[in-house]
Amino acid sequence: MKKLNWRKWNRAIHRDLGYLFFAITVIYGLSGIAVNHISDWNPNYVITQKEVTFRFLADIRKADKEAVKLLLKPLNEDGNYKKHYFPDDSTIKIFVNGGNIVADLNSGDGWMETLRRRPVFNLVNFLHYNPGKWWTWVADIFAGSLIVLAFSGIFLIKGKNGITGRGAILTAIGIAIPLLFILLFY
Amino acid sequence: MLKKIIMISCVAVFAISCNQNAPKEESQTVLTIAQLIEQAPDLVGKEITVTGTVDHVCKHGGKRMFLVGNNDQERMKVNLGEGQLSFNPEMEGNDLVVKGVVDELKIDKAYLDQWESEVMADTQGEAASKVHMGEAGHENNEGNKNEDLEKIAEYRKQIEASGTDHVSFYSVNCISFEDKKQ
Repeated sequence: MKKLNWRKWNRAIHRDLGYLFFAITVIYGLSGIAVNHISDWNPNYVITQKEVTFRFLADIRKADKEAVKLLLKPLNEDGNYKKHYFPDDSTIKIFVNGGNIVADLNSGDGWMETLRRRPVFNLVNFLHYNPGKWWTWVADIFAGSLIVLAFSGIFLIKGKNGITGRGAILTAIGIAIPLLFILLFY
Repeated sequence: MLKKIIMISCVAVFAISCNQNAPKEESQTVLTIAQLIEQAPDLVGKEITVTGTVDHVCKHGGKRMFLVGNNDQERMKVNLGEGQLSFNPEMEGNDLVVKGVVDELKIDKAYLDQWESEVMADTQGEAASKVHMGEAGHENNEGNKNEDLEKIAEYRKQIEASGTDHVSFYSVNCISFEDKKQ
């Protein structure tokens, strides 16, 4: 009976899972970095603010949709009007598609905030945050495959660079890092 | 085989007919933000439906949004529900109908002491006890220690003025929501 060449199978599994999950690994890697630094930046949106000035008429508080659209015309935002309201006696807030404007009714000064989806990161974060039950399946299969990739990876090659040589040292370091954090901070 | 088919068909017909006779879900009164604020102390833990305009969605994680009624005094925080992805900041300005459970956050001296110690610990990121109210421009002040300490001092004053040992903030834990335009 022919002996099973398990190393050949191991390499084949590692190789094919690597190909199959190349894209998803990059997606989770990118979004992982993005979410890790969520207190430093907004990975999903690029938010910009600029100063704007209006010349309000005395009866601005009675302004209807059309009157507010006229106010927005110089900013080329009249076509983007969504809604407006008066948070307090001296402020108007106008919602437009992709942003909003808050202005002081007395001075006419205000700020316009615009929101733009951050290219690539908005998409990868959408997937990372798990957009539904079907993606849960994909993510579970991916997570399971990562475990298979990890085990198959350490047995890829024999010799001094394998798990009995250089591989042993690097694997030990890789185990020690999370263990150290557990010991120090858990 | 034929017997099995007949039996399965009978079970299926019975199940369908039972389902048709099942009582329909009771329609819930849709509260305005002003009504919800007024009734909130009596609605804690109960399921409600409320309608309002999305004034603000927290941009970082989209974990909470703020609905308003006719002015800024009529304002209600809505927290992301279990299994929900995030609130989309592009919904700002849209009118929503939100179904959720009313939640009460009681802020007392012990809560404020804890929050203050978290702020003073100077760890990276925001304090776990921080109370999110979605004020204009708050995202530019995240991690601002002084801003947090001022808020804590303000809440201490509010508790003192209330004549009780705490102040309550009400919010809605979202179950589902619907955009009125869609």
